[in-house]
Amino acid sequence: MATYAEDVYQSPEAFIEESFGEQTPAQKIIWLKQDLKKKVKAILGHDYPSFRIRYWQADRRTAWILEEIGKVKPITTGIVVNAGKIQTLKVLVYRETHGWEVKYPFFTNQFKGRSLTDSKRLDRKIDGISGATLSVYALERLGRLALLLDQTVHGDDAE
Amino acid sequence: MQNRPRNNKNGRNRPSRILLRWHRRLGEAIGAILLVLCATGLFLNHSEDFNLRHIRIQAPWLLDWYGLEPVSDPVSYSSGQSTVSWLEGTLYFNGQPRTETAAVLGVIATPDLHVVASGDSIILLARDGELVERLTSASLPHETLVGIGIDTTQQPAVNTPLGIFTTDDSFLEWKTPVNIGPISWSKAIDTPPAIEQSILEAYRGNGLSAYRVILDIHTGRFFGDWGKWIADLTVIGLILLTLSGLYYAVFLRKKQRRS
Repeated sequence: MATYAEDVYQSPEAFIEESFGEQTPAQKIIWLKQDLKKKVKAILGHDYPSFRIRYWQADRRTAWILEEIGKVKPITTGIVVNAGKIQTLKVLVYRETHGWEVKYPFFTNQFKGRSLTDSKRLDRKIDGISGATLSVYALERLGRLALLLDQTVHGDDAE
Repeated sequence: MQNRPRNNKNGRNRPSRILLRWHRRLGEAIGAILLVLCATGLFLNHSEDFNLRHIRIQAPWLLDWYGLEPVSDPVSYSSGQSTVSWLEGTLYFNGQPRTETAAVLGVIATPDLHVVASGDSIILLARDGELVERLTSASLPHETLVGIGIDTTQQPAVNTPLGIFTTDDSFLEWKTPVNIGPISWSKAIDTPPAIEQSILEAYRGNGLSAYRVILDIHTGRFFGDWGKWIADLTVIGLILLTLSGLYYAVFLRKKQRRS
C-alpha cells in the first residue's frame, strides 16, 4: 500500500533486470563513511538518508537505485554508470503532483554520456523544464551522486 | 391633519432617508464581522511586534478543527527492547518519527538491526533507530511481501506470493530454505500508552502558530469554504457602506440643505 499517490513507471527490480539482462550480478553495498559522506552531502546539500547504499556491478558498469526529494516527495531513480559515464538515467517512481515531465526520454537522455568534473559537477549543463525545476535539480544531483559512488567503487575518486 | 403624499420628498421616503436606512441595515449586518476583521488585521499588521509566528497554540479542540488528528490508531511491533510503530505513512521508533513508508506488516530484531517490512520494501534501522538502509523491490526476493519473521536459526525470513525466503545479516542474498522449520512471524502488539502519546504529539507537531490562526480567521478560511465567501461578502458590504456614506455626504446632504 502506497503512503501517498505515486506513479510507478518501472519497478526497481525490473530496472536492474533490464540493465543487466539475464546476468544480473549479485548486490553489493557501499557504506557512506566519513569522507564519502561529506562528498555526498556536498552534492546533495544534505546527508543521504541512510548509512549505506546498495548497487550492482558488472565489470566497469554499476547500477544504482537512488532517491532524492524534488519538492516534497522522493523521486526514485535508476542510474547505470559505465566507464565513468552515465549510460542510463530513468525515473522509476514519481510521487509529486507537478514536474512529472522529467520522466520523459527527451529530458533523461541528456544525462547519457555525462561524467563528473573535478569539482563534482556534470561535464555539461542539463536543460531544465519549465514548471519542473525542483525535479530537474533533484535528478541532476542524483546523476552526480551515482557518478561519485561509481568512482568510489572503482577507486577512481582520488583527493 | 393633513395626509402626507406617499412619495413626499420631505417625508420618510425621500432618497436620502432610504439610503440612510439601507446604510444602517448594512452596517448592522456586517458590523460584528467587520470588528473581527479589523481586530485580526491589527494583529497581523503587528505580527512581528507580537511575535505571532513563534507563539504556538496546541489546544486539542483547535488541532481537531484543523484536522491535525489521525483518523486511525498507530500499529506497533515489539523489536528487542524497542517499539516500532506506524501511523498514516510515518514510521516511528520508540514514539519518534523516523521516515515515511507504506503500511508496516511486521518488525523483527537481529543482533544489530531492527528490520521493518512493509508491503513493498524493507527498512533497516540500527539498534538506536537510525536509518541504515531502505531495500526496494530490486533487493528483495519478490516485489510483494506478506510477512516477516525469524527462522529457527535466528535468520530473517519473509513470506511472499512465491513462498518463504531467508537471508543473513547482510540482506544481500535471499534463498529458498531447505527443510524449513517453524518461523516466528512478527505480530502487532497493543501500542504502549506512553508511546502512543509520543506518536500523537509528533503527529501534531508543535501545534499551530498564532499567526496562522489569526490569518485564517481574518480571511475566513478558519470557517472553511463558507467562511471565505462570508469574508468576501463582508468586504463587498464594506465597499457599499463606504460608497453609500460618501454619496450621502457629498450629494444628498447638499441637496437637502439647498432644498
